Amino acid sequence: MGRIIRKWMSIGIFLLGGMLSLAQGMEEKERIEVVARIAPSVVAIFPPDGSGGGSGVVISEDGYVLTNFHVTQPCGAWMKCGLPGGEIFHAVLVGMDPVGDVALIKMYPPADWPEEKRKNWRWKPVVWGDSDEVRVGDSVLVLGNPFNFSSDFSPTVTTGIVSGTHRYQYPAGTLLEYADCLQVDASINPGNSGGPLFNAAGELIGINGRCSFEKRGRIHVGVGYAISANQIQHFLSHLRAGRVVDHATLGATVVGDELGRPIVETLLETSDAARQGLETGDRLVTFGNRRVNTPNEFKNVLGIYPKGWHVPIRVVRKTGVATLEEREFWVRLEGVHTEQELGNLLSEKFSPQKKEEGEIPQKILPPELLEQLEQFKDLLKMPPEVASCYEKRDGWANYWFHRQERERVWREGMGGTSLGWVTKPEAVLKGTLSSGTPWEMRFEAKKTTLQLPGNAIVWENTGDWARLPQPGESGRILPGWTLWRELQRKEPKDFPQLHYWGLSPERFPEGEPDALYETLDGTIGGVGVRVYFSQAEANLPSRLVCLEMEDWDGHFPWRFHFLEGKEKSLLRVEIWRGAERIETFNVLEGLK
Amino acid sequence: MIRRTAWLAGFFGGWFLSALAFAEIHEVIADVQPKMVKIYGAGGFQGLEAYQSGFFISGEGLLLTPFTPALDSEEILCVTHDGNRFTATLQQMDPVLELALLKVDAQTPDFWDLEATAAKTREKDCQGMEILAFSNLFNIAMGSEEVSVQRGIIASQWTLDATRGAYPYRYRGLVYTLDVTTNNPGAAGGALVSLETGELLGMLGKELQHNRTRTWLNFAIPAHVLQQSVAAMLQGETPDEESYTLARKKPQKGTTLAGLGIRLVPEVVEKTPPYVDGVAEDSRAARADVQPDDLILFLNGKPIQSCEELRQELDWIDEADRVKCTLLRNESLLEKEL
Repeated sequence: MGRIIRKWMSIGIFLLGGMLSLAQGMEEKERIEVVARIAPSVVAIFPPDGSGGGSGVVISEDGYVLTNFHVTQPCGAWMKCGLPGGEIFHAVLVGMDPVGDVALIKMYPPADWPEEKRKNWRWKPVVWGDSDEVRVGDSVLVLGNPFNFSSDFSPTVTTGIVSGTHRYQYPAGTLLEYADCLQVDASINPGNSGGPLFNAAGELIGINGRCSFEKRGRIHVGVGYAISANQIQHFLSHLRAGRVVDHATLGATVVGDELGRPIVETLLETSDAARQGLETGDRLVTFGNRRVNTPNEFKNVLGIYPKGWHVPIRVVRKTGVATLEEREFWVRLEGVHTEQELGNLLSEKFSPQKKEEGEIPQKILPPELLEQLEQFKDLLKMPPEVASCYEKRDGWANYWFHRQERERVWREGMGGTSLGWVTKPEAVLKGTLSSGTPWEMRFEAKKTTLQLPGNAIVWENTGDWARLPQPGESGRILPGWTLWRELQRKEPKDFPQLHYWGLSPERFPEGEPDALYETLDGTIGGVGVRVYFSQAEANLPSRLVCLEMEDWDGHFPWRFHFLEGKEKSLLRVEIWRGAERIETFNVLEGLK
Repeated sequence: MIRRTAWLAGFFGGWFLSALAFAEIHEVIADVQPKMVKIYGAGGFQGLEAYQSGFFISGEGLLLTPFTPALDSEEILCVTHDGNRFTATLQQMDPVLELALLKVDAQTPDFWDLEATAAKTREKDCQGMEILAFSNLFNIAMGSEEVSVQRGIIASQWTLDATRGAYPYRYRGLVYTLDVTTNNPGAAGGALVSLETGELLGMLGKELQHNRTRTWLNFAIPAHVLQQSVAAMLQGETPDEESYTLARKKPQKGTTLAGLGIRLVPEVVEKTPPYVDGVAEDSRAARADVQPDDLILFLNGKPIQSCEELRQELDWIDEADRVKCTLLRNESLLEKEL
């Protein structure tokens, strides 16, 4: 009996060993399959003159490619992209994040392709992974174009593990900062910059961009860093809008207490954090739903957000000798740099106009060669498929893309209504307040009148939105509502200073907790205005549009919630000032 | 019944184990991190880093780290994986391995028992073993961040012959060379562990170069050598080169030149190259076709530079064992087994 058991046990162990090696074999086979699947999405990027080079990764079928800012920097407004197999496409700069070292570019099928082929051409995008799920020890794959090895742009593949997560790398110079990045031991060398970092399943978890080098020259020494995919996701819609994006600051300095915990030391009085109720001495507990135990961790989390992002923060406040109180605020983050500063820093490091004129690089070539090169000057001119998608404007990476995105968002958010209260030159809306009191709002060309029982409030629409309210005008209520009507009646070009901002989290009482909203941001007639609404794909039965209007102290306390039903009919209007709901208007008639 | 059970057990056991094999790396990392220490001291200028790595080797706060100028500080700060900070005192140092024994005034429940791990590395051939290297290279892990983890294999087991600038490194014993770049600021003192089990295999070495090629070395000092050093330090002894050479067991009766039947050229200078002058008839050397004027370059894979070195090295080889020689004869290399 015992012998039989032993015999079968040994067979069991034999099988077990077999399974293990089988499992290893499968792992290798899977890896080969994964590499074959993801390699077509990896791009080699070169400046128009073919010097230098980096890597990138395709993130959409229509040719959007992510890379490093420092890869596009020497390229100027357009660049060349080599795909595995040897095909070369031209690409244009779309948006850039000089602080986070990310740039978005877009490839186009060549202008000399047949129309049909151009129209049906699709690139192979990667699948995004969740970089917050990445753990130290996970296997990773690095694909890219180190040392310009590949003659047909087939990417070089290196493997390794995640050596550290949530790492912070201090700014190099004045601009680049790698916050909350992934550290890997896979080989990352010059030329890998901008290329993708994949998890074992072949999902994009980061963009490789930086290494620790010291005394051994610029080659891999076991440490490479990747910008996390989740951070890039925060910025992506902003980059698509042709922007030069900025990172965020809380408007406060944070230091460690005797236990090393993060304490608010100083606070900018004009910051939104101060306005929302943050005080010096508060201890930060969570920031953007992530726990922060040290000032370092706070700095790390802060680095993943764009300027203007809306985040929840939780603090513990000492309210007495032995009493502590926990508080939560939503804070809109300020920019790290003023637009002026960002512009100055960029013009020092980068100018998208630098090479667009078909200029031949002067530095390296002897004069006689330059003369010969003159005849090839056209090769350095912006190709037609790219030139039609580029618009130079100060402070923007590529204003052409901003125009496209703004028009799309305007259509989705404001356009297309045929309701009479918007389209007719004069309209009257009627309804009841939350108390049941009837109201009537009359819109005319030059004025808006709110009729309440025994009281009429008139606002003269002189087109001067910045005008201080006169006594009896009830602050911004009438101008705000009137502006919403105007925005729907008119075109983006009528409001040149209202820009598309990108997707941003907002806080509505009835809103989805983690939803992102399309946001337009800027000024109208000198007044700061922000409009945001849920994305078109959300397909909700009702939709909340939010219009914020700047108050006279430069903040955005006036908030209008327009709750829309089917076909953009208006169901209810709530008016908020700061955290206080001033009034609710239920709309009953007059829409048609 | 039993057959089927055993079959099923084998089948599911196989899957279970293979599932484990994938999960393991995270478990090993979780197990190792609490034993690691980031150490901060003096320095921070002219290529002298003020930070390095180390790990606990007792439950009472003893930790092992390289002896460096960073420790020449009024306060040696130790930060554990959870961000806790301790001040350490220097207990003892080993000038040959350049190791320091530090102590923090705390209970440290997570540590490696060197006695136990040493017993394993002493016996084991570690070449080709999959490893993880834990260290705070480049001081990337700040505050409460956990130290960096790299993966690789032990490329070879080798007798260290290293230098730092113009000064030779005193320790010339067994080390593991690695295929991962551990030769980085702050990495010295990191832990080399088995990927499979998380057991300590050794300590990442300092930034050293190969004595002749000047290649930067990625190596670790084996656990049993560390254990020997720690045992000596704990007894208040200061180890010297001899203590590590003696660690190799000398055979009762070593091999001699006469035993092999080789006569070398007369030693006219201090480092006379080991040229064969004559070979005794029917000797071990003659049977292996060693001829006069052959130059002996390697003995059992170890480079030999002088007659004296050859004699000393032979003394380590048991008389009864075979000896492998690499000879240079008329500009061609010959491998002979005596």
